[in-house]
Amino acid sequence: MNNPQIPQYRLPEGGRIDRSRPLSFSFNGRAYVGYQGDTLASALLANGVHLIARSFKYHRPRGIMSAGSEEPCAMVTMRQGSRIEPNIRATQIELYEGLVANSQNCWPSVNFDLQAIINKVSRFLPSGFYYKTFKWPKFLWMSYEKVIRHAAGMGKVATLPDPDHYDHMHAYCDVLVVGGGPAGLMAAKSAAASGARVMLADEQAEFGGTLCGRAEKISNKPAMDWVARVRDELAARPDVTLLPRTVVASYYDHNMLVLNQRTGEHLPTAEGFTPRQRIWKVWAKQVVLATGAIERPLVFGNNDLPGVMLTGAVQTYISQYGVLAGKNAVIFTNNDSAYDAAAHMHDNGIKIAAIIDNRKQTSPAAQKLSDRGILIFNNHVVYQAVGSKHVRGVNISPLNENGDKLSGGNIKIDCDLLCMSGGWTPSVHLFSQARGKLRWHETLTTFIPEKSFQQERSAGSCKGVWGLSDCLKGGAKAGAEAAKAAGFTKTRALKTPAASNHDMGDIRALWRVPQPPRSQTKRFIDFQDDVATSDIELAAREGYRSVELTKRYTTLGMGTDQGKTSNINGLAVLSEELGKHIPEVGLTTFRPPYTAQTLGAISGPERGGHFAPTRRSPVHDWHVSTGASFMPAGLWMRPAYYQQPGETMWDAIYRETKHVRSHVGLVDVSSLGKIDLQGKDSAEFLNRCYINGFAKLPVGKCRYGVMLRDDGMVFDDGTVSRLAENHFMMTTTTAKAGPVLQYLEYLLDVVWPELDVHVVSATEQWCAIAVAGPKSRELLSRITDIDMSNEAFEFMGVRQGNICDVPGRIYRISFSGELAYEIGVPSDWGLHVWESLMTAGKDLKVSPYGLEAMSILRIEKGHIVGAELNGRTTADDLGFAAMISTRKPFMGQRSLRKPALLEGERKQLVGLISLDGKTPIPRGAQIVVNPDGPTPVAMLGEVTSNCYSPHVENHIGLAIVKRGRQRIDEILWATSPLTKQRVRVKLCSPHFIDPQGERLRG
Amino acid sequence: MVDITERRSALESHYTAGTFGAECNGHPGVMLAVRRNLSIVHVAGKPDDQTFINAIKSACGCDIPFEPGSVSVAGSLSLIWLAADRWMAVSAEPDPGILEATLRRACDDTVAVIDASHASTVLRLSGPQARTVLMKGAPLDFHARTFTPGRVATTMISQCTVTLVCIDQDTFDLYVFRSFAQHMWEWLRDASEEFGYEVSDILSG
Repeated sequence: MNNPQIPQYRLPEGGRIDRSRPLSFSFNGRAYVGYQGDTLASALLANGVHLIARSFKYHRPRGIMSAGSEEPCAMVTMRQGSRIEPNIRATQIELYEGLVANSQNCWPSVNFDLQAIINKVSRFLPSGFYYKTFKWPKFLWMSYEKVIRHAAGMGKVATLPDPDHYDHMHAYCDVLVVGGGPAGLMAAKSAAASGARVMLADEQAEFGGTLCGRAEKISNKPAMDWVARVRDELAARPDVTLLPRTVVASYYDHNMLVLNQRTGEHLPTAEGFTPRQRIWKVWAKQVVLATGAIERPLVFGNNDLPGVMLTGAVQTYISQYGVLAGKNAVIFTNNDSAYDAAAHMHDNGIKIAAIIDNRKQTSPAAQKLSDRGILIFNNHVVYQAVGSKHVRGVNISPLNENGDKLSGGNIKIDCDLLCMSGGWTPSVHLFSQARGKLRWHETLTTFIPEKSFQQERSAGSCKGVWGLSDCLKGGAKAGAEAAKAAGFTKTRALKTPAASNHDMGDIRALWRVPQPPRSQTKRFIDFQDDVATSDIELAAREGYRSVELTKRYTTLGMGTDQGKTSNINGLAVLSEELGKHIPEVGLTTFRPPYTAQTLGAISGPERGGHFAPTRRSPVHDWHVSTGASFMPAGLWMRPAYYQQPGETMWDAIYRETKHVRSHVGLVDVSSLGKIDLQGKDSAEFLNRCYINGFAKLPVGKCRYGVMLRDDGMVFDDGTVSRLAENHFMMTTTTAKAGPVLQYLEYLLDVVWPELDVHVVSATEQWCAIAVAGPKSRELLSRITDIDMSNEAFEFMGVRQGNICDVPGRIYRISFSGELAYEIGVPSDWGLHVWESLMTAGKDLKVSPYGLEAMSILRIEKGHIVGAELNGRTTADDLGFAAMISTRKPFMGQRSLRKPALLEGERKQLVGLISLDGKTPIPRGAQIVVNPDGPTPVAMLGEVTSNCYSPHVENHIGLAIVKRGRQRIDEILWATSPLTKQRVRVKLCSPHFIDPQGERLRG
Repeated sequence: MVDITERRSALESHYTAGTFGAECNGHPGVMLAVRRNLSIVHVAGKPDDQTFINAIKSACGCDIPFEPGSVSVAGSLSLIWLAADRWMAVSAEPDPGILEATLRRACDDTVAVIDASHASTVLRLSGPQARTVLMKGAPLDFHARTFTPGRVATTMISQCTVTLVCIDQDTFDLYVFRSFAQHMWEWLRDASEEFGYEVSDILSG
């Protein structure tokens, strides 16, 4: 090295890197320098580092094979600590100052990996090894598994919370162009010229596609000048959205595509306020796919050695990054594209030791290279690469007449770079995801798009078009067609600039390069998953005929690269083994996403406290300030209990429970559903919805009601208050607020559109506070102008008036079984009313109570909640038979005659009491006669609610039990084998307190 | 009521005016504010009932917007389309009883008039990046030629139902159910961070 500043393999000039901005980075703990504009791969190659990783199964040394998202080998673990992320392709990592990357799948180092021993025994680890070996003896599986788990997998994920943030975006456009290469740019330009809303996405940081990495000219000037001009023109249009660093990952129905934009990956950390990645959901009227093509590897011995690279990638490293992937190259090809590449390399100082072309005839494209004195071997193959951790040379041999055997006369050629070109595979991933139909093209030896299923069209090399000029023309045409189809009818294809038009020539497919007899050398097809020709041959021998099953058996194409470089080669080898034509064998399904996606990006901002919305009552801040412990109830966050200093949780809960029975308590019940009904048929409508009658409910009264589903099961319960002749207010349980409203709207829209009723959710309008306990009347009489006397305001009455100086309603209803009222005031005044109640009731010792105490109070009273309204209980099961009206029809009525609802064995609601007076009744326990009886033990029912009752001074519960009402006083078991708990229980009435209702009427 | 006790916004204890997020050199990409003390009344009636149409016109001073997603405006009162038979009347009148009573008086009892002034928290989103913030949240087309002033859409943002009204080119009102207000406020702030945003003083009306 003459100049220590410039690494050995960096060209003195050229490339699309910024040489004024050197960047230091670390790979496997060693410091290196690259430039702004490098990828990790190009910077490592510039420093002569080729050994990047160890392979998945055999721990073979692997290097950098490609220069893009198809990379199957150079996978590294990026960053550290909470940002550590495995399996990132070095070819796609934009270099930044301080970048830290490490090899994975190796120990202690990538250079000396102990598990590489696996490679030595690889002949004993064929496809299906795992299934064949570890299935017996069965009892050893648990031991095998520990070892396998340790050895298996690729890289390690972060165990700390992800400190970055991710974002989502939704967009609509007329034309989405996927891919910013020559065809895509031309398509975007054509479509945008029509005035259409255009989005152009490309996975690279810079638009240009293949042009970034070639010495092409457009209009006799460097092609990248043209790219820059088109990009600037597009950027200047207000209705064009340019999305570099954005991979179009998935193509769904209705032309909806999902894009992943790497907004912050190229920065040391996505600091400040920039998200690390952004997921775009795009609804495009029309799509142009200009996704390009991926070069295919050739399948010869040791084709996975570091230093064996795709030919086009070597060009890219030269032109885009000013990096030589080697200094002495052998090129192995089956098509013409390698000749342009050879000239390109040669122009930049790479010695071309030889070009090995498996085709019999000398291609016209070869002429200019032989003119330079470069050796060209026709009808020859590289049958093996030689080297241990880097290619040192190649063994070449002529082919026999049929091309299926080597015909002797081996030559060894030294090299430090082996370029391979097996032809190009159009990237039809998105086309196929969109359910487009592919066709096998015999001369191109690949699948190309034939018939679109959605509103899309392909342009450029993803359609099997290779020449630059043809790609530009195809792009212009596709862009114009797309705009036209999107409604911009006057659109015409723009003229395209002059450019070269080289194609690949005729390809001579040679899916497996023959090996010398008895060679054990592996010829890899899927580099990421270590699938070699021998694995596919074995699968075929073992009877695999379906390409989909072969994929799963051999893991061909199942890596994170989804077989971008391996699918066609693998399929071709399988076809040869099966003696079938390739299209007969078919292709595996292309599934989203095109490249692996970060889970963080998919969840976006919906994580942590925002995983789901939190609903808060108008009194929420008061609960927080008084130290309430909260519990979720659906999306609501509700106070569970209010712990005082020195109290345990249970102390607080029992104190609150007893306080309501002896004094007065407040509970925030704002989350209960409230539905406002207006219209002259409201009473009739309610009559049809509930099992009990509402037509005669007087104004100023409320009534408890039970609603059934069509199938006769109880849907929900609640109260309905008549505020005026044609104005009602319905309450629902918290959980059913939405479903009940939806059901009522359905009935009104579909079943009885003739009824004059309007239903509107009023849940959010009202803050609801239950005031319960013997002192509740006294408290309320202090803060309202409503006459609270028992005579003027009877049980189940409703009054409207001023409450703490704001307009509101008071309902005399009770969930606790005590004298109780529920206050409703408009929400913005809820906190004011709550605070006023606390102040006004100070001398009455008014105290808040939470959901836990409320639950105990209602179990003591035998009131039901969601646990009992579980969709499997009828009104009769729950003890509401007397409520069922026989004088009117109602929803679910007919189903009540179903035999299953009439039979005598139905489970009925009962109370339970712990027989020994001290053992808790386990939640969800089964009610049985004898838990130790012969299995299966007959289950009579189950515990639906349980608690310790301060009132009863014992553990109590509610249960639904077969013929439960006839079993009152029977002694049974409540058993919970899962938690190993059991208790003897006595069945009793579900009303543990005040069964006559004297308290609430007093 | 003569003396209405002060209404408390759901965001009362979470609202701090100031500039936040990315550095924006005095040019925030997004402005956020809460609009308080609005009267919001839901009106449900039959769209083919001429009496209803006339009654609303006389009470509000504007025609009922029948076209889905449209808004009629008369002075400080907006009549916002919600569904085929449902509208939302919004005015800056701080005593919600007045708007409700006006509408109630005008309509017969086949029309439902429901005060919902306390049911929603109304957030105002404005600024050059306001549309981008909406794009983050909802799968609707917010292009300036598509979602124009006087349009309304009810959609989901961050799993919350939101009614969006386009006030002018860069200004939107978000009607959010009160219990979801804090969640939506936090989401809006997060979504606006990268552009730099300003929380203005509470807008009364």
